[in-house]
Amino acid sequence: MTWRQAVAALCCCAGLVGNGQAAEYKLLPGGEFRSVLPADGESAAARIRPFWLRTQPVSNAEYLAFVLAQRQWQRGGPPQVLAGADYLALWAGPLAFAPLQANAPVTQISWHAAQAYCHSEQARLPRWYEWEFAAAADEQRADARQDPLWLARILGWYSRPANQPPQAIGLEPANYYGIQDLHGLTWEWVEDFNGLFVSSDSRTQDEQKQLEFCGGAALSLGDKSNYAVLIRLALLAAMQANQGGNYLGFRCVREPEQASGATP
Amino acid sequence: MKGFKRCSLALRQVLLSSALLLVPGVAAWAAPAAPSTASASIPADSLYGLPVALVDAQGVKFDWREMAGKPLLVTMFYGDCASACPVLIESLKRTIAELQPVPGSIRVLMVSLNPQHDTPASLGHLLHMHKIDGDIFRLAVAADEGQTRAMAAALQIKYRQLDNGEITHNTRVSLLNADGQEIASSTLLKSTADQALLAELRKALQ
Repeated sequence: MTWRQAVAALCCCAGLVGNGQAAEYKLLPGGEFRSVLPADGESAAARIRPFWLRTQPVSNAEYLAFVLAQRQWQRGGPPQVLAGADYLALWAGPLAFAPLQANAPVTQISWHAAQAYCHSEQARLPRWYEWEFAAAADEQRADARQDPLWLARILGWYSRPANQPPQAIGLEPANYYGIQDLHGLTWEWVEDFNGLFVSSDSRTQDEQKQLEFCGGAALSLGDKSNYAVLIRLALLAAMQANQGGNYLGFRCVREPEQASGATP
Repeated sequence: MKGFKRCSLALRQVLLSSALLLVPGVAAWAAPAAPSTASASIPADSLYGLPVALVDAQGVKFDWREMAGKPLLVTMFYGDCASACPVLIESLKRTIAELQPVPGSIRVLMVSLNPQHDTPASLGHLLHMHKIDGDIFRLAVAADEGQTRAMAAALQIKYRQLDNGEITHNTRVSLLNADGQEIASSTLLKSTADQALLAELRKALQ
C-alpha cells in the first residue's frame, strides 16, 4: 500500500464518519444591505435573512473526501451537462489532487458539483447577496465599503498575474464576521449566478438582446465604486453551470434551521 | 394464474428498478443534481444528464428525463407574469398549430420559475385560462429553488426574483431531440408562430 493509497483510505474512512474534521460555519446576521444589484432593479436595499457561512472555502483535501464518498462526482463521472471537460482538470488523477496542495481551495468545479458538495454538508451555495454581505467586511468593520484604501487593497488581487494555482486557505486574517479568504484567493460560485443581470422586463427586445448577447453584462448597478465586487459579478454572470475555472472555487451556506450541528 | 402472478411480480420489479433509476433515492426531491446510472445510455452532451423531479398540472410526479424518446420543446416561464409569458405561450401555441404534428410525435414542456408559488392547481388554471392543449403541452413545477435553478442553468435561462416577488427572466425555448441533445433554440418573443423554430421542428419530425 503506497502512502497515497493509505491517505485515500484514511480520507475514505473519514468521509464515512462525517468528513473527519467538520467544516466550520459562522452565523451572520443579514439585514438590510445596500448591494451593487438593487433588490427592486432600481435602488432598493436587499433584505437578507440570517445565515451560517462556511468560514473557509472548500479545500482540495475536503473535495477529495467528497468524491471518495460520492464516486459519481469523480473526474470523468458526471455527464457533460453537470461538469464539462475542465472539471478538476489540474488534478493528477480522479483521486489525486497533486500537484495542487491539500489545503488550497479546490477549483475547476462546476456549479452543479459545488451544489452537490454543499448538499453533502447539509448546505447550499451562498446567494449573491449573502456573499456580497459577508465580503463587505474588513477585519474591524461589518461594512468597509466606504473606505477607498480598503477598496484599493482588495482590488489589488485582480492585478496580480494568474499564472499560479491559488495558494493555501487561511493565510489572511479573518474578517469582522470570522470569515476568511473572501477576497484575494479565488472567485467563488453563488447559487444564483444565473440571476445576476439587469432587471429588465423580458418584453423589451433590445434589452433581451443585450442579455442574450453578453450574458448579463448589462447590469443595473447601485454602487459602481466597488470594482472588485463588480468584476466578480461580471465573471459569474458570464458563466455556464457546467463550467469551472482555474481560480473559481466555492464555500457553502446553511439556513438557520439546517445549522443545528454548526459551531457558533 | 401462476403465470400471471410471476408476470406481475416481474412487472413490479421492472417498475421498481426503473423508478430507482429515474429517481435516485428519496433524496431526488431535495438533492441537487446527482449523475445516475440512467445516464449511461444517453449521449455525453444530452441535457438529460440532469435529473429534475417535477409535478405537472394533473399532480403527476415525474422526472423530465421521462420525456426522452421523442423531440421535446422545453422552456421555463413565470405564471404570474402579465406580459412576457402570455406572449410566450401564444407563440408556442401558434407554432404548434402551424406545425400540425402527428399526435404523440412531440411534447412541449413548460416549467415554472416560481416553485414557492406554483402548484398543480395554479398550473391547471393557467392551462384552462390560455386554452392550452394538454395533450401536447405539459406544465410543471420543480420541488424547490435549487432544482429550478439547476434546470434553468441547463436551459440557459437567467432569472431573478425582485423584492416585490416578480420574477424577471430571459425567454429561451430549446428544442431537444429524442436523446435530449439541444438541436435548436429560440429567444424570439412575438405572439406569432416562430418560423425559424418551426423549420427546425419540421426537420426534427421528418
